[in-house]
Amino acid sequence: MNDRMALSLLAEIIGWPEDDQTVATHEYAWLRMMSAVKYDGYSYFRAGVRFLESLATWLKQFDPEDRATAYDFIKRRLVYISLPEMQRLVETFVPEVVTPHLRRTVALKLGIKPYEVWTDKRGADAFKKCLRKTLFVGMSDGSRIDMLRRANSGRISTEQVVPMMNVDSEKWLDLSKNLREVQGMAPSERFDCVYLIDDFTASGTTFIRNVNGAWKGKLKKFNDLIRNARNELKDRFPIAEDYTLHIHHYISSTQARGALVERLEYAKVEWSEWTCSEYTVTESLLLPMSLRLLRPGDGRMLDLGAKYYDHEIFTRAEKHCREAGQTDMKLGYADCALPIVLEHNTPNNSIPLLWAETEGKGGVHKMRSLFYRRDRHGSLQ
Amino acid sequence: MRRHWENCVTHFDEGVYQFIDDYFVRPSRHCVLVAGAGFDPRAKRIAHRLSAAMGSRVHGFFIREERGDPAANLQKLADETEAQLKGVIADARIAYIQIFSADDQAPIGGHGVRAALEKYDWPKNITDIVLDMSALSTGIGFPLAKLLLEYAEAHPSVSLHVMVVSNPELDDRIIGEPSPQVQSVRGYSGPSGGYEPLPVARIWLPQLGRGRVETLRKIRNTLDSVYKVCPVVPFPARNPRRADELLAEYQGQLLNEWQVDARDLIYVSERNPLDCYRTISTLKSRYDQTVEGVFFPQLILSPFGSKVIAVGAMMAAIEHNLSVQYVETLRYEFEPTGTKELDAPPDMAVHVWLHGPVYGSYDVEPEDVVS
Repeated sequence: MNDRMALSLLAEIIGWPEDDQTVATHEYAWLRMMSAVKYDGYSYFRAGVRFLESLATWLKQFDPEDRATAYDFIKRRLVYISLPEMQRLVETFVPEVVTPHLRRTVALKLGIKPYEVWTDKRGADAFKKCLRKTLFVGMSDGSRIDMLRRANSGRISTEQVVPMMNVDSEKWLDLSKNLREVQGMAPSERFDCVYLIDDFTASGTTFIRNVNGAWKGKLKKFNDLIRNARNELKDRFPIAEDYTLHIHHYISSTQARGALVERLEYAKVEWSEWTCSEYTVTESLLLPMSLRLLRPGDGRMLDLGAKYYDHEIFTRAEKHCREAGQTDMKLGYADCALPIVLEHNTPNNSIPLLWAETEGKGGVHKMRSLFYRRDRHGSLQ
Repeated sequence: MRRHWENCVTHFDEGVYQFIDDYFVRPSRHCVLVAGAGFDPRAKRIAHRLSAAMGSRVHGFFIREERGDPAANLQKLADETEAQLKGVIADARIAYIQIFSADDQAPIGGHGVRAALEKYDWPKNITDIVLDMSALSTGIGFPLAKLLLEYAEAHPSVSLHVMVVSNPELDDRIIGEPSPQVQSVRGYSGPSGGYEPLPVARIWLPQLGRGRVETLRKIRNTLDSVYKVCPVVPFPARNPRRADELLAEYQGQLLNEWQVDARDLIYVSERNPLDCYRTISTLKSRYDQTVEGVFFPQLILSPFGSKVIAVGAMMAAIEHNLSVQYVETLRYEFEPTGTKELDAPPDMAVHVWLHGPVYGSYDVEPEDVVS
């Protein structure tokens, strides 16, 4: 990159003072570093138009007097989860979430303390058996099952990992056969513990929600899947009747965690065919409540969100938004108002100024994204 | 080889205190608590909890780090801490350790703490040692950990626990004035001799901490034959922007001075020291293979910032005989204010069960289950 040209481009757009090159040079050094460390890795950037060029495009949509506010937001508030950071979250999952749970499970069975599991061979053997009887199910592409497998090579078998939720009878039978063939397992052995894994939740809505009395979401689908397969396969179904269900997100907002727990409690009472005995909700990174943009601290950026808002982003997903009780999308889906970007996509719970692209029909502002977002139907928005 | 270190029994936050209440409350447990007795407000937390659970079955071996010209308010805070610790633990020994030599201002704290520990008359029937690193500096805490591990490993029935009450936001407010001298932490000088036939190729792992730019620059300037610089930054962290903020603070060094490749940043959990331990161990193993027969590989650690991460680095340094280069602190500045403390995020706590009979079967191969 021609640094001098890139610096001039940004200095001109943001309005860094011409008579004070120190500011421009310092800011440009920061941008260059963060581009290399993080932002250039965004999956929708392309050769020649990566972060710096996208930033220039994004800033130009704002009136000159608003550009410093937008730049300051990127510098001080944006949380960008890079690929190495996501990898770290995946790598900590088994040792920090699964292992302590299994220690507690084994301890309960053996009547010992969780920290005594490795004291004698009985506990060590039971731990290994318990780990093999744990099933890991990916809920979406974001589950990073490939990373999970690599990080736990030699620790968890490929025969206890299901990359996607669409499991058919043949796969269930295969899982059952492989589990029962493991040396030391009984012919009737089943998975006692199931982890549903997803990358991110900001509102908990995608996972479980109740719309006008009807339950929806990934958990409902999974529960139905289990119920139907269990009815069909009977004794050959590989998951135990009293299995424990664990819902793990690599990243969760505090708001989503609270909502998930609340809705699960509600569903437990309401669902007549709830397939598990108990459940937990865990995460590798819990985003603090303070991450959400709030007035007065974020007032100027929230004002920009209102000023450069095109209601088209609401009408485009109106049914979905109304289910979340929204009448506009100024703060993103479920009004989460988050400043977060994941390296493979930007959540729609983040503020739309980061991700929205519109045509500006009827003379309204054409929203220009900094980080393109691919929605669940495959289109960019 | 301490294989169980990859998967040590750990507890976090309230779980640490529940563990103390569950385990140390047993009449069969007899414990020595080794901890700092300085100005740091976190110095007393573990002592109070152990004392409440154990009464007279806990003994205290407390370190007062003596620096030449301490700030008056910190001296007063440390005096109060010492008095309180003596108040909660009846058998409390205080070791006053001079951090710098009176003659030439050379850092001698590591030597002093070793001498003090050698003189310590261990109580009979000890089952557990707790090293509380919350209020100990690197120059004291690291040598202590190594000495206590040697002691515990020589006494198979004795367990060694490391505990840390940490608060990264509070750490940011404790300002240290660095001494002019860069040195190895006592007991952490890395391999000596035996590698002369091959040229050394070093990977330096500076743990970025707020306000430590000049200190780390000083260390880097003493290192030659550096193959790569791999800065260690906290992620996941309770402030998800903490790593970004540190990168911004160090941008000049990372880009212009240390020539860091963006792909060589090392992210480690701010909450769990084992994450740092595992990450450095993996790097060590791969780097050894890479340069075998051409260079002598050397990993050099410089832990600053989060104490939890530093504990993981310390474990890696002990296990793999890595060098730890640091700069001792001449004096600290810290202004505790009630209002700020109220607004501050809560302390975090971690317990790592480093060694003991609880790992008796960790390495035993199962006879009837294979993965």
